[in-house]
Amino acid sequence: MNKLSTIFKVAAFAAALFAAFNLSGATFEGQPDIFPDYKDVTIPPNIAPLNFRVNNAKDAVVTFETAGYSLKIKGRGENGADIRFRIRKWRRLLDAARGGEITVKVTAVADGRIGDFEPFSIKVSEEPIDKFLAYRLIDPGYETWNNMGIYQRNLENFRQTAVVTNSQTDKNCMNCHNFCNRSPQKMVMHMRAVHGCTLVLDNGKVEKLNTKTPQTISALVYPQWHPSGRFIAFSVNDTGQAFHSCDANRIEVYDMDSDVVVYDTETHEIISCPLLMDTLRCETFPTFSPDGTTLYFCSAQRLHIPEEFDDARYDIFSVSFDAESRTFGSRIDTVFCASELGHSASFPRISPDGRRLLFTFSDYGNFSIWHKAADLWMTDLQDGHTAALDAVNSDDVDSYHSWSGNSRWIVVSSRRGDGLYTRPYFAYIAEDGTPGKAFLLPQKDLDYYDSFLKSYNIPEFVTGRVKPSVRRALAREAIKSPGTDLTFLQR
Amino acid sequence: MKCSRTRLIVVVTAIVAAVAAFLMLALAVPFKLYSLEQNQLFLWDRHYILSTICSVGGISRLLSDFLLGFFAVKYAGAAISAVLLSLLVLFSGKAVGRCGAPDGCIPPLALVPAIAVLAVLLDPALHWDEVISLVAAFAAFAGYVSIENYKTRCAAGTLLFPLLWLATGAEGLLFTICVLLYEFLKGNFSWPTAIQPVVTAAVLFAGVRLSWVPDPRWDLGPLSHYEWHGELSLGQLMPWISLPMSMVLAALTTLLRRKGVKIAFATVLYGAVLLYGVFTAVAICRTDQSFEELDWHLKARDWDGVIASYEKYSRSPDIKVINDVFLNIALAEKGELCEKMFNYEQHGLSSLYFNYGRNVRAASLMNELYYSAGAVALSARMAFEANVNAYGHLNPRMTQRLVQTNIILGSYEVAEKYIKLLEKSIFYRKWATSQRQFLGDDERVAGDSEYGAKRLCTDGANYLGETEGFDNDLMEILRNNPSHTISADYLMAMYLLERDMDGLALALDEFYGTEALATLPKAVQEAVIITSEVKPGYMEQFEIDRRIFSRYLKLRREAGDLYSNDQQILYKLTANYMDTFWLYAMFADNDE
Repeated sequence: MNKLSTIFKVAAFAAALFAAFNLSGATFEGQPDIFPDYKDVTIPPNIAPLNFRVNNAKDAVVTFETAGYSLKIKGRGENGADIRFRIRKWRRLLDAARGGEITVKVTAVADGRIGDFEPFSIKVSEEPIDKFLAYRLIDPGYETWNNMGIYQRNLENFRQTAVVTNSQTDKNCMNCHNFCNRSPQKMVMHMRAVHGCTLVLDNGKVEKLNTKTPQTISALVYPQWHPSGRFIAFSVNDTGQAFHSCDANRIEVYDMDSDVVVYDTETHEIISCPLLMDTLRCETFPTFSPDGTTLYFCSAQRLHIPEEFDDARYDIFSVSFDAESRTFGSRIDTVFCASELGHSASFPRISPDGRRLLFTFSDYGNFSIWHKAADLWMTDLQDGHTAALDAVNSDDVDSYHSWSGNSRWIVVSSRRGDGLYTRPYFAYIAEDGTPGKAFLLPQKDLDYYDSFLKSYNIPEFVTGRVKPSVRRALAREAIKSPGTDLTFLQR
Repeated sequence: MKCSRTRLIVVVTAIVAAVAAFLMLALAVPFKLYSLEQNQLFLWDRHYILSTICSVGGISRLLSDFLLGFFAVKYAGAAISAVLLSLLVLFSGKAVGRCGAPDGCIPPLALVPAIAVLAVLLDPALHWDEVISLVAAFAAFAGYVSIENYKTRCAAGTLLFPLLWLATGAEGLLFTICVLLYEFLKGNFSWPTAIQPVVTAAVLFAGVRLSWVPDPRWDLGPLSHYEWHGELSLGQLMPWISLPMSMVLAALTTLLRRKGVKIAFATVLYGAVLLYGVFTAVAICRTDQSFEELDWHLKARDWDGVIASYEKYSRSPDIKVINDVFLNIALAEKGELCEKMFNYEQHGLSSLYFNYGRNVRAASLMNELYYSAGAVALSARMAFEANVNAYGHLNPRMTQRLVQTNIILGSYEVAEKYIKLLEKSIFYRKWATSQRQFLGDDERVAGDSEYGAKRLCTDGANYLGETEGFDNDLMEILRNNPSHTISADYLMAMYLLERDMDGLALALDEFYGTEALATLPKAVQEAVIITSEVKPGYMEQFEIDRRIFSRYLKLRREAGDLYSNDQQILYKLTANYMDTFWLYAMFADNDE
C-alpha cells in the first residue's frame, strides 16, 4: 500500500515536471489562488523575495518572465505548493524587471489534474522603498500584556531584529515610536507602567523624560517629529476603553479629553496655545508638514464619553507653527471635514514631498485601529481633491499608516488577514496619486502569519538599521536614569 | 569494585528519591501539577519550534513545553518530576563521588541539589525550563568529571560551555562555576583551567553585546527562569549553589583523618539533609492548592466536584473569597444559585463578581463566569487577557475558549486561527478539529445546544460591556435571550449579595413571570419578604412559598427576643437561619 502511494506521489510530481515543460493540456479557469496575494501588485525594486503559496495545489511550477530574464521555480507542500526564491535569483529578476513588469505563469497539479492558470503580472517600480520598517509587536489585547517590543525588519531580506524589548525593562509596556525624517539616529518612544517615561534617542545618546506636568492632562502621547529635529508634537489624552457586547469592532478606545502640545528638545519645555487646548474640544494626533511650518491635528467636539462614544466625529485641522519663535498661528484652518460626511478622520500623515495628506476615514471616534469600517483616504493638498484609496483598502481595519521617504510607498496596518491580528501592507502611490494594490510584508516561512500571534503596530519606515547599542542604551536609561522633568509654557 | 559500589549507592539513592518525590507530589499537590500544563502549549509548528530553539535557552524551553503538556494526565506530572529529580541525584552523585566523598556520605550530598529543586518546583513564578536546564547542566558536569585526562577534560569543558549556554541559558554559567570549583578542589591550577572562564566571559560578553541576553541583570543568574524578578531569595539560589556546596563538602571529607570526626561529620550531614528534606516536604504538603483543585473541576465541568472541593477548603481558617466564585458558578450551572447560595458563607459581591485587577488567574476565572452568564464578548476578552499572560506560548484552555467565543460571535476567521494552532498540539488536536464544523455555518452554530444558546444572548443591540455595571449587561442578555435563565440567576445573586433591594425590585419588575424568571428561587423569595416589611403588600405580586413565609414569621418572633441581648438567642438564630438571605442581610459584612 505504501509502495503504491509512493508511486502515485512520484507520478504526480513527474506530471508536474512535464507541465513545467509546457506539456500540460488543461487550463484552469482564472488566476491562481495564492497567499499572500501578490497578483497584479506594484512592488519596489529592493523588496525581499515575494515567497508565496499556490493554494489548493500540491505541486506547482511557476515561471517568472521579464524582459531578458526568465526564472522557473518548482514548489510543493501539504497545504499548497510553496514557491520560495533564492535571494540572488530574486535580485536578478528584480533588476531585470525594474521599471517594467514580471509575468507570472503558474502550472499546477490541482483537483487531480495538471493545468495552467491564467497568468498574472507584478509591476516593479523604479522607486525603491526605505530599507527598514520599524514596528511594535504586541498582542492585540485589551489591558494586559506580556512580551512586547519594538522591532525592525530589513525590507530587502527577511532579517528582523529588536530595537528594544520589554524583556530588558522588567516587562513594562512600550509604545508610540517615531523617527525624525525616518532616521535611525533620532527616535522617540514611550514606556508605560514600570519605568514609565518618554525616551528620546539622538545620535546614540538617550534622554529619559518625565512628561507629565501639572498643566497637562496626561503624560505625552502620539509623537511626531518636527523635520528640524528640535521639536516633537504630541497629544495629551485622557483615554478610556470599553468592550462591545456584540459588535465586530470588539474594543472601543475613546478620549474623554485631549490636547495637542509641542515639546522643545533643547529647552525641555512643553509648548501649546489655547487653540490647541480648547476646553470644548478634543485635539489629538498632531503631525508637522515636511517643511515644519504647519501643524496638522485632529479635533472633535468634546462629548459625554463613554455614553456618546459613537457620536464623536473628528476632523482634520491645521495651524501654522514658527520654529524660530516657537509660536503658533492665531487661526485654525479646516483641512478635511469628515464630520460633514457623518464620519471621522484620524492619523493625518503628510507625504515627505508635501503633496498629499493620508488619513484614516472611519465611522466615528479617533481610535480607528479597532474599527472595521476604517479605510485610508488621501487628500491632494494642491487641488484639495480627497478620495478613498480603494485599491489599498479592504473590508477590515485599514488604519495606521506612514510614508516612505520618496513619497512613493505607504505602509498600512490592516486586520484583513484574519480579522484580529494587524499585518503591514505596502502600496505604491504613483506620481499622479494613483494607488497600487496593497501587498503583505513578505516572509520566508509561508506559515508565519498563521501561527504568529502578535500584531504589527505602528509600522514606520526607517532609512537604516537602529544599532544594537541603542537597544542597550534605551533599556539602561529607562531603568537607571531618574529622568528630566519637563515644564509647560503657554504661548 | 569500589567504583561499582559507589555507582550502586548513587542509583539506589536516585531510585529512593524518585519514589519519595513521586509519592509526595502525586498525593500532596496533584492539582498544582495539573495546573502547570496550562502555562504553555507545545506545538508541532515550524515557526514556534525554530523561534524557540533559536533563542538562548531555547532547547530547555522547548523540552519543558513538551513535557508539561503531559502534566494534564493523572500522575504524569509527578512521574516526570520524579524522574528529573532522580537524574539530578544521579549526576550530583557522580560529581561528589569524583570530588572524593566516601560512599557513606554520597547519598546526602547527592540529594541536596534535588531537594533544592523540589523546594522551588511549585513556585508559581518559576518557568519549568529551569529544571530541564539544571538537569542538562548537571549531566554535562557529570560527563566532564568522568574524563580522566586533565587537558582533554578542559578542552571538553571549554567546548561544552557555549553549547550548554545556547541550549539551557544561564545554567551554562553554573556549569563553568562547577568546572572551576572542581579543578580548584583537585588542585589543577595550570593554564588549561584558565581557558574555560575566558571562553565563558567572551561568550557571555558577545551574548550581551548582540542582545541575545535581553537583560543581563537577570538572565545570567538563578533568576533567569523566573517570571517575576524580585530580590533573590535563598530558596531561588539553592538550586544553583547546592551542587558546588556538595562538592566542597565532599572535598572536605577527604581532609578528615580521625574516624570519630568522620562519623560526627557524617552524622551532622545526614541530620542536616534530613532536616532540609523534611522541611521541604512539609512546605510542599502545606502548599495551598485550593484554586488549582477548584479550577481543575471547573475545567472538567464537574460541578459537584467544585462544590465538594469548596466544602473541603471552607473548613480552613483562611477565607478565600475567590473560592466562593467557583462555588457560585457551580451552583449557577446546576440551576441552584439563588436556591442554595446562602447554604454557604458568602462574602459580599466579590463572592461572585470582582474586578480581575489584571491578574491572570482571576482573568481565567472571570472568563468562566462571563461565559456561564452569556456575556460572550467579555468572556472572550478575559480569555484573551489570560492567554496573553501565559508564561509560555499559549494557555490551551484559554485558546479553546477563544475558539468557542469567536465561533459564537461569528468571528470565524479568528476562531479558525486558534483552531489551526490547537490542531498542531498533542492533546487538543482532536477537539480543535471537531470545532471546524461550526466555521462559517451559522445554522449549525444556532442548532448547537451550547453555542446556539450563547449566540442568542448576543443577538441584540450592541452596548459597551460593564460601563453601566455588569447587572445591566445581564439584563441586556436576558432581553436578548430570556431562555438563558442562568443569567437571571446571576443577576438576582448579584443584587442579593449587594443587598441591593431596589435593584432587585427593578429586575423583578421586568423579568418576573417571563421565561427568564418564571418562579422565584428561595433566596429571592426571602428578599421579597423582607422588602415587604418596608413596602407593605409588595410580596403579594409574587408567588411565595408558604413554608418560607412561615419560617420568616418564626424568625421575626425569635429575632424580637434579641433585644434581650441574650447571646444564646443569637447563636440559636444563626444556627437556625444561616442558610437564608435574612441572616446574610442582617449580619454579613459586605466589605469583605
